[in-house]
Amino acid sequence: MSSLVYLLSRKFKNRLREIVRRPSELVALVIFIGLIAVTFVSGNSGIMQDEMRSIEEFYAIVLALYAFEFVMIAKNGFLNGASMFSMADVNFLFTSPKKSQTLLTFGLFNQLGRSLMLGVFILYQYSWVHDTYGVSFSALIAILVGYAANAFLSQMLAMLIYSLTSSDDKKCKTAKAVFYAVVLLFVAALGYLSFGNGEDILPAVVKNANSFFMNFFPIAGFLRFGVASFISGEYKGVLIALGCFVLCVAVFYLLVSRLKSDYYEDVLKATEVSFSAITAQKEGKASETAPRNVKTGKTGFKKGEGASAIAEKHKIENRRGKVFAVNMLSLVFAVITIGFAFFMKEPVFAFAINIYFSIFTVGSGRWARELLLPYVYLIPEPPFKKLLNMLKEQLPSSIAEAVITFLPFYFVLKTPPLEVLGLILAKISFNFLFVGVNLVLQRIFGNGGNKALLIFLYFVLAFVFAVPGVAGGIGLSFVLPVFEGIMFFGMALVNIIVGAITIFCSRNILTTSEYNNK
Amino acid sequence: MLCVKNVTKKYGKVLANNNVSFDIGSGEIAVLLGPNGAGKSTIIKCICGLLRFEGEITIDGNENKSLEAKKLLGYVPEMPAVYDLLTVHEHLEFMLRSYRMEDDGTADRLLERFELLDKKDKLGKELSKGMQQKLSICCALVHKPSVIIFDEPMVGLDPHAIKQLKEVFLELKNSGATVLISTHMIDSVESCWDKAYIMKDGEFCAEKSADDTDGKSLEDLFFELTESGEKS
Repeated sequence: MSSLVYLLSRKFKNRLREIVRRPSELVALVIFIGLIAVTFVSGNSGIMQDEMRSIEEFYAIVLALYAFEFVMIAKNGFLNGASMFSMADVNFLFTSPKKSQTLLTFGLFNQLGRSLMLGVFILYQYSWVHDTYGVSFSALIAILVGYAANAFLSQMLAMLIYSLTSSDDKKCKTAKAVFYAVVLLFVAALGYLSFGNGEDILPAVVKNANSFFMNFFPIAGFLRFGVASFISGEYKGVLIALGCFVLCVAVFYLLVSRLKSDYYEDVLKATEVSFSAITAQKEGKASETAPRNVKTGKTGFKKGEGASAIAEKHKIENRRGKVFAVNMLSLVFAVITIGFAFFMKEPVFAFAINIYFSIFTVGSGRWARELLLPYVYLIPEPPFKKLLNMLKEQLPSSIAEAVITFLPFYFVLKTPPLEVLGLILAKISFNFLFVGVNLVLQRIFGNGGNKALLIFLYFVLAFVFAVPGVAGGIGLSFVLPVFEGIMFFGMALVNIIVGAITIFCSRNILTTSEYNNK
Repeated sequence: MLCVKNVTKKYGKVLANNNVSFDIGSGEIAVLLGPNGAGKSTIIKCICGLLRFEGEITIDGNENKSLEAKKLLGYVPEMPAVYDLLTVHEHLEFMLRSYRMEDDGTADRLLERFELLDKKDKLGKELSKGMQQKLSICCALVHKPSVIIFDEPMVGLDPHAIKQLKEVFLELKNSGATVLISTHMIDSVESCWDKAYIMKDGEFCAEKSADDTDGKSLEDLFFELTESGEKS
């Protein structure tokens, strides 16, 4: 048996064995599959909307998703490149007497599996896409396959770009300019065609996103075309997309392996970067999403004594780590929310999507990373005081995030100002509530335990803790329907009360919870 | 000064520390030796108040999680703990402010000693692993603690820093501080140790005092005690 086949099969077998041996892994897997089943059942519950939205609108969303994924992955070619290899591959395989082309094929095979896993979140969208657009489960699988293919090709392209341009700064700049020019060309064309002829904007955007021209958007274009063809039963289109995919793989493979057979150095940096990120995560180190080149600016603390030094430290770190008042992830989610509002013409739905995103963004705040280093536990100050100072940075960023996300609703949806204010307050209150949920989890489990299971529990707790606020909001809108959007004021009020109680109950976590950096 | 009584720590069903007891007085250096997975880092984290445990740990008579105990404690973690977006000097400033202390020049002296002064405006993320370790050590010492716990402090250090650290151990001892060092580099503590505790499977399998070595080196004692399975 070839050593590479042996390696792949052993890794697979050991992974399976680990799932069976470790109950927490098994539970996480069962929950993972169970949740997909729940979304499937709830999506087929028979409660259908009176009128389905146009499937063309859904294809436009798929294009936006693929195009975004393409840009985010492929642009890495101008930074560290991309790697399909692990550090162990680099250490053991690159030094072994094997052809570099063979190893490239091995890397591609590995990457294919990883790409598929990247898009699993798509399966959880079944319920709403089925109810809104009538999308079937097989269609969702097609979208997942398209997403994985997109990730795979984008990764190959990033590797190719890095391989061909990393040694020459001029080449790199030129390639970067061409890359962004191509992307901008499509965005500008879409904008011009949609906004320029006085039509209704939404139908115009949808129509133009589905135009023949947009199929030429690099990689994402033909993949969207293939997926759309599959859903609409036009299998000729699927074959064309498949052909394009195979052609791209062949061209990228040939370019990397023939033009630059010694590609080891090119993937080394990306492998090391990814390895140190994984190691840091395993070691429980705070992963910092700081820009590559940080402008240090003024140094030193202006104030802060005792526990308040923590809050001052966060101000300095935030100044250096961020371009905007909110972090990049929140900004991306804000844009997606506004996009949803634009498509759905419905603030409540877009709000729900954004709150779902908040579950991710709140847990990635600086205060959460603080718990991964020992200092905050060691500082000789009362634990509640330290906790409050640790959480202080969350408020201004939550306000900024809420304003940036929901103020545009006034312009996009013509949402009444009072309702916009309600949306902003409710968003801030949910962030506050989810901080409380994080703390409850920290209080119970510390930083230890199975990560997948903890994330799942976090989601469950987030939903449970959100129930009183949602119920309160809906209740208030029935009892006191004085203006549209009063529901959000009710939600905000209840969430803040629940969040405050939760945080107060977790006031001693810096003394009682366990610091576990394993 | 540091008193550990009947400490037991379990991670689920795994017994990481089993009824561990020892004490270290002022001006004493104790070393914690043992194979990987023996439970050294766990007992250290218990002492530092980072883990829950059964038993009792006091620092100068104060329960280890009390503010009084925390004020007296300095801790160098097994893996360097630095903030990516703070400069080297800001780390020390942060520590001093957190402990409500004025900088009397100790910060710069420590940085100079560990050859970090010229890097005082560098960000944590720009430091190599060895430099991060040096910074971690400086952070643990800058507020002049009287009980200092070092968990594998030599890992990643260059020869100059190792030499400086050995001198720091002796200075701390002479100043009356209580020092606990967990290390695999036995020769690095050969010249300064007072007590040695050898751990295996979560408990002490041997204890030795520097006065009771029969002229043997710590390294020889370690192998003698661990390889013969003697309990002394």
